[in-house]
Amino acid sequence: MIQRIRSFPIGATIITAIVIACLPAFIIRYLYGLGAISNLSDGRPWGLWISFDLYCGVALAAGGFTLAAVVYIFGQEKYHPVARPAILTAFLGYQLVILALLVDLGQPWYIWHAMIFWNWHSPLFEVAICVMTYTGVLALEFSPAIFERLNWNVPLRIIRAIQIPLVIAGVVLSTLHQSSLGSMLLMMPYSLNPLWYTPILPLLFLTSAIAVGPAMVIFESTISSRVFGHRMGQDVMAGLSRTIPYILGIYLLLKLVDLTARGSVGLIFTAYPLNLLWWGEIIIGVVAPIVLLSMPNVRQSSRKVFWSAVLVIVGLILNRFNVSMIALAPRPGTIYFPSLMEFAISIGLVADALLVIMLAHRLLPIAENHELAEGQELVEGQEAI
Amino acid sequence: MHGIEPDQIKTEVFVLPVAGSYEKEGSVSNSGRWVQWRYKAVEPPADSMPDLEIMHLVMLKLKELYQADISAPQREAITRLAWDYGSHVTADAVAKEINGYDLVTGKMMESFALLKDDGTTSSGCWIYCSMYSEAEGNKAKKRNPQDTHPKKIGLHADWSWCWPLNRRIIYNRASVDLDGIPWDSERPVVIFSPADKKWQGDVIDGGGLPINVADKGAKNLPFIMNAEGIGRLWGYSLVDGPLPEVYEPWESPLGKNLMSGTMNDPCTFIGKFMNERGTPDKYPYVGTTYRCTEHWQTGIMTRNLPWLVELVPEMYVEMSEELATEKSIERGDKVIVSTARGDIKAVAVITRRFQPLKVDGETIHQIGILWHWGYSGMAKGDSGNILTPHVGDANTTIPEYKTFLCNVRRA
Amino acid sequence: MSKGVLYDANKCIGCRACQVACKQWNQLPAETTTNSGTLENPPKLSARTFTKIHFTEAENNGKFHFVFTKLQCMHCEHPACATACPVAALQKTKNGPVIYDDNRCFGCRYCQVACPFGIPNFEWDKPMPWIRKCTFCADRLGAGLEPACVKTCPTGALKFGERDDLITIARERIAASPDKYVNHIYGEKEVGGLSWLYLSPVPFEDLGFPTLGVEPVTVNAERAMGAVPPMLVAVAAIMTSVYWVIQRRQKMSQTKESDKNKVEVTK
Repeated sequence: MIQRIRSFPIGATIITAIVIACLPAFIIRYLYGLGAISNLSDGRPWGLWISFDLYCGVALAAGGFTLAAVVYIFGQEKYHPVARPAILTAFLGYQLVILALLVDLGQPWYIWHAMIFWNWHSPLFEVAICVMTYTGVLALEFSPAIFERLNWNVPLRIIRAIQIPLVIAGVVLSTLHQSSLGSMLLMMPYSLNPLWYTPILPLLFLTSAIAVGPAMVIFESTISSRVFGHRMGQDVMAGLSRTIPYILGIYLLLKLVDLTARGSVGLIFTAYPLNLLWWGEIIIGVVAPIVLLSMPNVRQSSRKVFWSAVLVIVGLILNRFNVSMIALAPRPGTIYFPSLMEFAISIGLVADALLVIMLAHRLLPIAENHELAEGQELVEGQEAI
Repeated sequence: MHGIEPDQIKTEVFVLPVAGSYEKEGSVSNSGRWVQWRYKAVEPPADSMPDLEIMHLVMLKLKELYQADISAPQREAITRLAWDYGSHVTADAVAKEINGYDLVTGKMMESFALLKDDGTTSSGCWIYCSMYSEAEGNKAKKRNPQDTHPKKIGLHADWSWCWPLNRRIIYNRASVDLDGIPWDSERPVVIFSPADKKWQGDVIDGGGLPINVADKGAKNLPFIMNAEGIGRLWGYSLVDGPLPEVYEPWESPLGKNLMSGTMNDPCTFIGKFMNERGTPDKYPYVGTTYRCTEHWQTGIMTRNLPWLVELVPEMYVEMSEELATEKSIERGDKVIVSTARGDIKAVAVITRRFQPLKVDGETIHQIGILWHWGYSGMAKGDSGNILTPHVGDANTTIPEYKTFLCNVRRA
Repeated sequence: MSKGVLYDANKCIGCRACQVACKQWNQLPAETTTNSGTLENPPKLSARTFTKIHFTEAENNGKFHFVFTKLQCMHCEHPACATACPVAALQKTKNGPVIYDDNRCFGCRYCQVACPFGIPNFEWDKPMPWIRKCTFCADRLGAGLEPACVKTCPTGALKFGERDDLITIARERIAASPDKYVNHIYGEKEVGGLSWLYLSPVPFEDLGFPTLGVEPVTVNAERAMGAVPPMLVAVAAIMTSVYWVIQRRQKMSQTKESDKNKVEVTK
């Protein structure tokens, strides 16, 4: 029996209203150009959309590849119920990235140029190709949900057959582009503050992405359990939360060793005011979650785990904003703050993604008790339970 | 303003659009007495024409009208005026007339020495006679970059043509002694060759042989425009001469002339109209006017060229950091500069290139004022020449626009 | 082989003929400007202004200097923009110029962020915007001509030629007048060398030139990209091995279970 989902929840109405309200910004962007709707300029060519929609968007979608690896490669079956929602979140996260690029690129109708003009030296080329390919992989990984709904057994079987290569491809591609987003910043040794600039930036990016993956899964599952009424297993929550401190610990170690090796450790005290942001990132996003999630009584409480995961996510967002905007010096004499319409674009895209998630949860077998178990197939005429 | 009523003035003015200097062919002079030919670089915009062509068309029409009206006064001055340009006048044709024709043979006059007062020769201006010759044509068009002087002193006599007779350095006979030997053997201007009794180098003044070589009685003195033929230590034709004197300008910040008993040149021309005189108590700073590279004269051409307006868009004045601090003026502020004759608005450019002067124990500030702006054009602004006094040099009447008293304040 | 331009601040008179020649050659519209209290205009380079003269009033060794410096793309030997551009729309040519191909560009603006001199500029006010910057008059160079700015310079402050020859000339000028020049050729080594070389009577940082090291800014990114193929293979191999090992272990424990059951059954 499909659990009754409240029809037309007020949330969906509000979110739809937001999407519609943000539409004019998109129209003006295409009619009049980027200068008309943003505070971007030659002094600050990358702003809110790059920092939030691209950098944060890709990192926060890391739940997809991390969970897929945990379930399908490392064989941790108990996380199976959260794998599909994680992949859905990741798929929509990457959709958001691509849609944001279609707004931010000066001539987005030429986005396909990356498929025929290749600059192997460019970290952004690397990101473009991997994101494009990985979005395809995510689509394929998510397709069983659609095939189950539509009773298409043959495609279902095909996808199941290539499940493992898909997941491995997903891990490879994600490793490459999560780190290459960091490599992009290696080109700016004179603009990126030395508290953040390091040759191991790609490694730091990858590590923080791996850490935020489980945190996003915790976050997303907690929210959808409230909105859609699905239950998340206690052991799943505890298990996910147990891994986070280890990964964050490695991250912290890498950061401190790197700063020491470069002789820049003193900057965490002297590089005012940016050092405050560094401390903010580290305390909120790394130290606090490590401390909290190391404590068994925290891990046992879904509420405390949820808020610890939120700290990791906030810390990650702060880090991505720091490296791509706040600690990345603009051209001299430039002051930037996103315009109202820039916010409208980002908010509109997120609202759009939320709408799609709501629709997906409503129409497709996403949650644990809706998904078919491994090896099961739908018999003609049988409804999914 | 100043009691002028335009509708009471009985003069009608027609303003016609003329081509700028790069939009027509013709000659350009310089203070080296050169006549250099210039060619048309671009078409003039819209309906503008070279002024030569406008004058030609006007004269053709005048001739037509005067020819038809027998009762017109002194009509022969127009009907019998030689105007042999055909339907299309060229600057080259005018150059020939200025050079002059032998009216008997119809050929170019070769030298002003051959001009007569019997009506058989013509010349528009004797100093330009020889600029155009039968053999070489329009010598103003010459462009030989080689230095043709035998000792390569940098004369470049084959580049354009100068009056008189392409003599590049006048009174050059003063550069040789009485035997014709140059005082400076490294850099001789003219060199006399005793063997063939000829001068080399620049065109010798007067053409005759050196004094010790020439027949007794021949003068051949160098300063041919002076009756006595020799130079003068002081100019006795100067109205405020004979000895030079340093005077303060008509508007001076000083109470007395530190170098002479008399404050101002007593022979200065002083304009009576719109020429109020300022005093240091109200106008304590010295104003001077100058140009910028990007604009030209009144700016009526340059202030309509977008690329030049981009470079220098607004009227500005320059002053020292010290003066700016004293008057609380910051870089980029709009200021008002005033003199006894008026005030103007400008942007303040503050620069260390201006330094306060220390004169007789007092600090005197200077303000640099541009004058390329006006009331019309793409870029408008006030003209610095509203401020200047109408005072003329005693001998030349050149106006004293480069030094006067002014004041400045934030707008 | 590679061309360059030597700019000598001691010869420049700040006439800005080079600015106008560039506008004329590239048919760039004039910008709307105001006088902000300086003789300099426009205030910044932009998609419509590829070069400009910057004015500095500086002091060096007790002497006052009014120094002019020409700003434009440096046409670096190791351009950050060319490495950054994902579709290789910016490329360093053998002849020297770093050229831009708008048949490839899709306006990502990474080149703007990567350039240590902040040169590439964007057409923010156009619905179909391109990146624009000094082209080193690559078209004129191709026809055997000098860049428009060099051709028009009335004082010879700009000198065009082989980069190596210009460095020699620059060294000779410094040696001949050591009191007139700071002993440094800006652009000889900065970020791997620039095609545009500068001589100045005052320290370059007083003129607003960024103080840069000799290493190209592309070095770390190139290393990271070089690591991509081995990383790809390594991660794929590791994931495959882990999967295989875990599958085997699961099978082994399953076999053990069924063996146990078998034993129990037979018992």
